[in-house]
Amino acid sequence: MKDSKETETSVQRPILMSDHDQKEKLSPVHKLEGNSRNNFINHVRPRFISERVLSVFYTFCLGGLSFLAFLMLGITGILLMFHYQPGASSGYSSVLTIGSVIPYGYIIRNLHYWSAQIMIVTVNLHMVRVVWTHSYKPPRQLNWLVGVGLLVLVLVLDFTGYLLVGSQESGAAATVAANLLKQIPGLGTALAQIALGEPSALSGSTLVVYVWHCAVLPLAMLWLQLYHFWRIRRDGGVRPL
Amino acid sequence: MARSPINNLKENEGIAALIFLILCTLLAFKISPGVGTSNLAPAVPHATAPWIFGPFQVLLLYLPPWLGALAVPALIIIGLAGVPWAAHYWGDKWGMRIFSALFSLVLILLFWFMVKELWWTRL
Ligand code: HEM
Repeated sequence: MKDSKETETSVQRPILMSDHDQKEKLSPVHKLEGNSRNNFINHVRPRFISERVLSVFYTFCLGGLSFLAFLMLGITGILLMFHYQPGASSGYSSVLTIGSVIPYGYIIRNLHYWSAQIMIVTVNLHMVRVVWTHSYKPPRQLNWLVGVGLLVLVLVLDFTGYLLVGSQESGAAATVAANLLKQIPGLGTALAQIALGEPSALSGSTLVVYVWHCAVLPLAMLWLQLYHFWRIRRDGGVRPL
Repeated sequence: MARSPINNLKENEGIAALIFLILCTLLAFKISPGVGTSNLAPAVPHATAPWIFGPFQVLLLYLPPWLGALAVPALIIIGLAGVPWAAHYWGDKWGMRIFSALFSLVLILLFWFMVKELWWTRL
């Protein structure tokens, strides 16, 4: 019971510590965290924070900005879904309609596109920052792996988004991807069908790609990001907003 | 009274978020992304990948598909994933070295793509 009381205090009052003090005094916190393994809130507001990481020049806000980009993509993506229709010819024509007929459609599409481009840059710079500050080292190695998973998901989301434009170029990209997957012995043909459906050489927009891009991958990414944030705390790491 | 470093950081993060949103909005108003070639138009002979996948396109150009687009990217991802363990078993420097080697490889391929596909072919 005593532990849970301490946990509550820690939620309300984070305490600042210098790096020097931190070494010794962090241990009770770790013990406490071990006892409340499932308490998400506890990790979002940890009790002790190293002063060094409270400088904006430690993280350069790159992880937080990547998450902000993800939120932007979610909001603009849902708005795009109101008018986008997957399909060999409907995909391309609905993109044209969004861009030229739907009120504010072009600005929503452009915001979606540019947040995705900027996110690729911020995620990569975030990874460079993590290496620069040696933050991949134990106990953060699992969070590094989660990060690598996020990087792969971002790239796959970007790729499926490109296919949804439904242009000839997206058809070429889908065909190359399908042919590559088919090279995997045994599983290849099934994998290509599961991942891409039946794209034509002239359009990569299929219902299968649409569901991956708008539902499965973003949800997987959201879950992985929440786990990423939880782990930052659990590993005694930096403090985002 | 000096402001707490936490509030200071919060304020800086807020400013960074604002800059990000303004940059996105400006880009969105000024530059519309292309829509590519209509599928009703005559077939295009060559499709250039979006810049993010430029490194793939370069690899595919020079290597057999299984190597260029499956084995090499898989090795890069596995190499990245292994950085903490490389640092743990072989020493800190190796973590940095492996990451730098992989990251530079991707950057070189990207540069190669930019020159070859986006600049050279348009001359
Ligand atoms: C969608 C992508 C990602 C998001 C939204 C994200 C978000 C964050 C945030 C908000 C932080 C807190 C510190 C900071 O802002 O720098 C963080 C820390 C961290 N991230 Fe990410 N991240 C992403 C991708 C990655 C990738 C690709 C890697 C590495 C391969 C990675 C590895 C880490 C590690 C190891 C930490 C702990 C750093 C420390 O304690 O100093 N993350 N991440």
